[in-house]
Amino acid sequence: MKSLRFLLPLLAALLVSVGFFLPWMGAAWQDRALGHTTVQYETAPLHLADLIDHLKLAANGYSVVALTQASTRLSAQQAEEAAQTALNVMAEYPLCFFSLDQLFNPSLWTLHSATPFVAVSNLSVTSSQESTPSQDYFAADTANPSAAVFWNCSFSGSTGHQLDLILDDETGKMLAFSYRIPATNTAEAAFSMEDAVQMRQFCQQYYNLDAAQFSALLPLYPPGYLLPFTDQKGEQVNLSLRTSQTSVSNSSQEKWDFFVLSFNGAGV
Amino acid sequence: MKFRLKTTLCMVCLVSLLFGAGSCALISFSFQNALEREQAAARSAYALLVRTLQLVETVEVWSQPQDVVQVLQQLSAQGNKSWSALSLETEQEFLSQGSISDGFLDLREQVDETHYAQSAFSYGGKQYLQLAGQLEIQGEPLILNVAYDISSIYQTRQQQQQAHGKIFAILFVVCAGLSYSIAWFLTRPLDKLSQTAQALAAGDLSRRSGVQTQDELGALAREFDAMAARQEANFAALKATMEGQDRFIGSFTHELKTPMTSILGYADLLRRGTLSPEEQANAADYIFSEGKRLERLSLKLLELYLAEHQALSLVPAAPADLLQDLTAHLSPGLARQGIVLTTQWEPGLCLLEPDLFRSLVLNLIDNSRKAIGAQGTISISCQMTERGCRLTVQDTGRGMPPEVLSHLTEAFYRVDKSRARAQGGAGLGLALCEKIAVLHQGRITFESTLGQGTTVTVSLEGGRP
Repeated sequence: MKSLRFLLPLLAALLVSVGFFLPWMGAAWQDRALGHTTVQYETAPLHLADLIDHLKLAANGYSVVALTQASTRLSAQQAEEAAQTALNVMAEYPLCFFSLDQLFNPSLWTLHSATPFVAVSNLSVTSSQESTPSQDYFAADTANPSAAVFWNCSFSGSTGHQLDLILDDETGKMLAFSYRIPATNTAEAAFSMEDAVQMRQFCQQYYNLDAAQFSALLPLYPPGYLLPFTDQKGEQVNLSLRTSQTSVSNSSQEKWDFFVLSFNGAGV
Repeated sequence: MKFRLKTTLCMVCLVSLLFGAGSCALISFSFQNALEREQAAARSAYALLVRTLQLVETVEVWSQPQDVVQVLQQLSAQGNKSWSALSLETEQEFLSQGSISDGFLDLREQVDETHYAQSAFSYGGKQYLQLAGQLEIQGEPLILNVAYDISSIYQTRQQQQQAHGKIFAILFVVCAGLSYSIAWFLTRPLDKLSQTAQALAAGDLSRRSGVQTQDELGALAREFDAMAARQEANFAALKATMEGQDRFIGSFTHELKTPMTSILGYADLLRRGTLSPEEQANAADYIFSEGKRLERLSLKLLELYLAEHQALSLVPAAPADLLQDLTAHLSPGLARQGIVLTTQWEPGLCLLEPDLFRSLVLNLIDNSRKAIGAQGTISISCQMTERGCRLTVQDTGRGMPPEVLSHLTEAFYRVDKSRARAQGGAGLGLALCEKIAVLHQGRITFESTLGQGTTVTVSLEGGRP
């Protein structure tokens, strides 16, 4: 009986200890199982991206891999022609901002360069856990990680105006643009919701989208608007049209302030 | 070990195991979910990296594997670097990014052109997911190993475990305290019962548990208290019996000793032959009278013994007839002593033992006669009752003080010892009367007033035919 008297407290202490250390034991078991497991996955075939995927890639932001000896689908000449065509389409629509009717008139712009690059969507393993709601609009599409070949066509106009077009190598279509003018010239430049509505209508026509696919405009800060639409896969694409101020320093440390109008994330 | 401590230990064990199992399941589930999210994100990042390299490879002219390195470096420079370490190897490794690339597992056996592999490893106190796949650059196979830091989910799990530890400690203390308190509250009646049993065993027969709960323990305690009360009553009765027997033996010894001393003294005188004839006659008379008194004493004792031990057979009899017969014989003798005997009885039958009834009436009349002395009246009445009859003998004698009434039925008890001895009483008459009453399921009661007389009432409840 004496041994029984000590047996019960010992048994109780054992059970309490087991209860206390159960989470650690479970974790050790999980770690051991994970450490001894190697999982094989089939390499997914290349995802055939379309224009909307590339719009989405441009909208969500990307990293750039420069190409030096590229054998892209479009040649440099074809890319220049595609850029001119895009300008024509925008001018003929006509797209005009800040009361500038001839903003996209090809005759007012001189093409400086057309450079291909690989755009790689921004991804981070932990970004999905740390992102804030406002960042979600621009979050990378982790379900469909993508990369594509784009062209960056740079134009310059009179009085320091600059225009960058981002073209899709597959279709030759304009995916994004960035229009820059010295800040002093646009002190009175106004940007309104009508501009965003006009841009949405242009996108509908240019990208061959249905009006019903577009949702209501959403205001942004810095001043601008989101032009969200839902593609045929049911995924939302957040095009944007916004303005911003930026400074550029030249080699002689002179600082130039620019006013920027950007579509679909270009130049931001 | 006390029962309440056992209960507490059981509760603590149960709660500990359940809480531990619950925490384990919750933490494991949370960790597994987070791990699966990290794995999915890592696979997406890895697929994007491979997709990028494949895309660049299709449009760019790569002359050497080092060109791949430049692509990766460009991505790293722009902050699009989700990996913690990366290695690109052919026959011999030629690119290694990140200090932990030494920790890479060799997954070459698990990868081929159509499959990539995922595993996990620890390095420098951190945990990583490793993804390995095969690329083909300019016809040359390359193994791309990428590691993603997933230490954050391990840190989260560690924080959850620490939280579990703290909550467990608090829960342990609270559970132990509450369990002990509840067990103490519930087993308190058992403590009282135990203490009462100990007190009873130590001789305190008046001790009771006093537990008043309405549960099973309350019922047990009430039964226990009732049992203790019965034991106390039995013990008191036994004690009274023992005391009575002690008194009986003492009185009996005394009753024997006195006449025996006288008889021996006178017998010694006769044996010496020194007495005159007249003195010899007186001595012989005294010896004879004391011998007769001893004989009466023995007869009374015998009668008392028989009343206690003889098998009793109650028969239907009429008390009026028995009383009439007795008084008819006794009246003349009493009248000669100046005592008037009055009678009053109801006709009817009841179950009784006729000889014992006669003995009862004779003893009561004899006591009344002795109490009256010279002049007086003895009234005898008998009423029939539902279960038998009630006999009342009333005298106009000298009466008795109230304090002696409870001792009247004790053997050898006399109110006035010298007078009783002179009248030849042995102090056994009323003891016999009480025995007779008890044998008839009845009782005997006394009422007396000093100087006025005594009334003795005997109820006999042996039943009626």
